[in-house]
Amino acid sequence: MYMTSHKNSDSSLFAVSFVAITLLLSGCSIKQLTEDGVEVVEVDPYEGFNRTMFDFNDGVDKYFAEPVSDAYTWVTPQFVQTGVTNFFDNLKGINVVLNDLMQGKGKQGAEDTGRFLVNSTVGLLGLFDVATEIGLEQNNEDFAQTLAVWGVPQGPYLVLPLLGPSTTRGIPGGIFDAAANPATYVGVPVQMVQMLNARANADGEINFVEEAALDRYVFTRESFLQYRDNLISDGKIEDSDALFDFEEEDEDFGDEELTKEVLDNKSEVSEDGIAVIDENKEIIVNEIEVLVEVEPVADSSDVSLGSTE
Amino acid sequence: MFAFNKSKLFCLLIISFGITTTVVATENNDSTVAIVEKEVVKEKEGAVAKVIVTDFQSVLIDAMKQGKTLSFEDRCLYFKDAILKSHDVLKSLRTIVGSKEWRRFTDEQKALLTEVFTRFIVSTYAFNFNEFSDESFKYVSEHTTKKGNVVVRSILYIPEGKRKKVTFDYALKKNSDGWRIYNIAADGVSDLATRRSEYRRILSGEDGFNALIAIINKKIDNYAK
Repeated sequence: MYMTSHKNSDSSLFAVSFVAITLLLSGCSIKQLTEDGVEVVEVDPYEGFNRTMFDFNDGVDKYFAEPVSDAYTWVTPQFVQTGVTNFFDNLKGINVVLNDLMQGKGKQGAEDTGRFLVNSTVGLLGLFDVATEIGLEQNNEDFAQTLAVWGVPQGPYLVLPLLGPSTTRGIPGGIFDAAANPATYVGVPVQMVQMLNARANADGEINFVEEAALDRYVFTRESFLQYRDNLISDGKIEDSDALFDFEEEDEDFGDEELTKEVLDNKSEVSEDGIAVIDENKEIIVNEIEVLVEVEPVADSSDVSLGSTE
Repeated sequence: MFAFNKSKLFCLLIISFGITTTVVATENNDSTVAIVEKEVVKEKEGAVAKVIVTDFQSVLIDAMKQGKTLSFEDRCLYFKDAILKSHDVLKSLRTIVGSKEWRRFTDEQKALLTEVFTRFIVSTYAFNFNEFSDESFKYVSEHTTKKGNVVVRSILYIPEGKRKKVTFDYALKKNSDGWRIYNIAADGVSDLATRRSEYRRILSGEDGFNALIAIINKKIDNYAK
């Protein structure tokens, strides 16, 4: 009895001190900096460190996590993977309820309690997600979101070794979440399975970023921060005005009347739209201009390119 | 004769009713009528915007269903047509680049970037929407912003796999062709905001424009492989 209470006060002290550190760090690092044409990213003052960590995590993923995760996916039937995911999601349920309550979401807290009870019993210790079937859908709440609701500022973006993207607010968040998750106390092998399963589940997203991102570091940072913001605000459609936010900043492009059709005529768009782009565009344009000079009415479709001058 | 009289009477009634309402409206609460009319217009606009989104989504689902029979090139053609009909690619690209940088581009650079960017978007769709496992889009709601733009919210349900649903917000603006998709957010991650950071980072580097074109072309080549 004494042991448990001691442990609890220890961890809460820990959390409180981290909150304090978060506040301190975020207080001194948010600055509005812009240079001519170059956006200085105020949310990421430790970009140098973060990029190093990003590359480190990348290496760990490439040479360790991904191969192990691929092997796991290969040997594990889909229904077992789903069961494992459900099991760990259910254990997170306790933390979800705690954070519901700390954010004052009473109704959601009651629903999530129901969800946890149903899945822990009828769902055989959480292996089956029965609750979703009966309309008690999974909610995503954690302590970092609660801190945000309480007004703790986000603080700078951080890439943590092995754990990946976070913010200074995310650190006390992560510690609380771990403390409120029974999986933390059952031993390293269980945590390994949890991490492995999480990596396997993220495979699609990781590949998507790999394929779609022009700059994976920037893409990951922006997506992560926006995704977290959306969780904090619970994604209300009323907040979606932000999808047009850029307009205020960008009013005058100098060519508002310019249409895609006009640009298409200036560009060598292939019939199917998928042919390889000519890298010597300038030269081609010049050639056609020369062609126009020599034979002004040779071919009207060719002329259109040069004649837009 | 009787029918004529009846319709004449009906016309008269309508006219007089019209006059009465107009008079009442002008005298009493002109603004209320105007607001009601505005609301009706808003609703109609929202409905038109919604159709643009749902039509585009049915193209996505169709392409997934035909994923096995269509080649990558076929899907590109299919998506190019659908995207040009429903998206304002140029407006989105301008936003991504930002006005400062955009004004510095020559017309040829603008044309080249627009063409490459369009091809990148098309290839991204063609690459990712290539197999069907009972996914479906469900319309949720729409929202008119203070400035009169429209956001259409829908949910993509993915029955197989672990991530069961993704909320898609389509942000539409009206241009001379009608309502067009300007930005898309998946679970709150705004496509334009993310690209903006990426593109600007690359453009601010050495020989930024050519570097950007080269990177995008490389991405397209990877998709086409």
